[in-house]
Amino acid sequence: MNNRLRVLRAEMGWSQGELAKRLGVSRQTINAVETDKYDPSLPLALRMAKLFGVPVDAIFLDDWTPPEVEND
Amino acid sequence: MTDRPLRSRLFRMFVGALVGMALGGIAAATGALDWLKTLSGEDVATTLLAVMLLFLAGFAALVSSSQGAYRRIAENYREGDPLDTDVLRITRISALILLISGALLLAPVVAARFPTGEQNPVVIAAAMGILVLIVTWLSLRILRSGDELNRAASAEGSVISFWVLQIGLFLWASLAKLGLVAEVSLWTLMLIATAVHLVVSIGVAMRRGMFS
Repeated sequence: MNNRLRVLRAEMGWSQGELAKRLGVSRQTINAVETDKYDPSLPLALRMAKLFGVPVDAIFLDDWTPPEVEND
Repeated sequence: MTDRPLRSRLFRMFVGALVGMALGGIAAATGALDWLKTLSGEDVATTLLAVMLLFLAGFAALVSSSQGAYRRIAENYREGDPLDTDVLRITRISALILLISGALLLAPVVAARFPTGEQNPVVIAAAMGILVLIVTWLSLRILRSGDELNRAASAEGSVISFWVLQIGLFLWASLAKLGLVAEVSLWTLMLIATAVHLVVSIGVAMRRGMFS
């Protein structure tokens, strides 16, 4: 899933290691998320949203739209 | 350590392979490896795998010997970043696990080759049982102290390994029942399972960017 984590982190002036420390995960986890190699768990995504002060869908971009359901 | 491009890593691996080949060639030429000729194929493979594990244990011990050493050597460290919490402790535990695993792999082969008495197998089996418990406990500690990426990679590696081994075992067993291939020993199966799990785990870790 595409995300804006690298951009948000850069805006705060944090390194991957600093962000990892704030979130209580390893730097490899931050790197894996930023490079789209790993989708974080919901709790970690929520923590990221709180830390940057933005909604989750401002970090993780999903172009999925719900299909229209025909009502009988 | 700063990021190295893939080409640089491949070049280093190539140089390492050349040096390894040269050292192996010298050892073979001087007769230092003649004892390997007396071992069966599976025992040679066991020895190679065990030596690899012991080498990795030594490397992990070296990397985790100090913060400075980790910063200098570890591939996944980036200049200026703080070290991850407990990274040195976890790497040291990993070194211990690799060391015990290598010893566990070698123990039955060495014991079978150099029997020292009737009670020997029982004593060795008891010692191995204790070591397996220790390794299990240490592995659980790493799993619990690792973060979600570690746990996800571990679970993914286990699932893929199980799938590959289950399918492989089924196919081989079917062919053996049909008389098309030879039966293989339990030791060979264990060796294949260990090697597959090792390769798959490293592949998953690379795919998840855990070495970068």
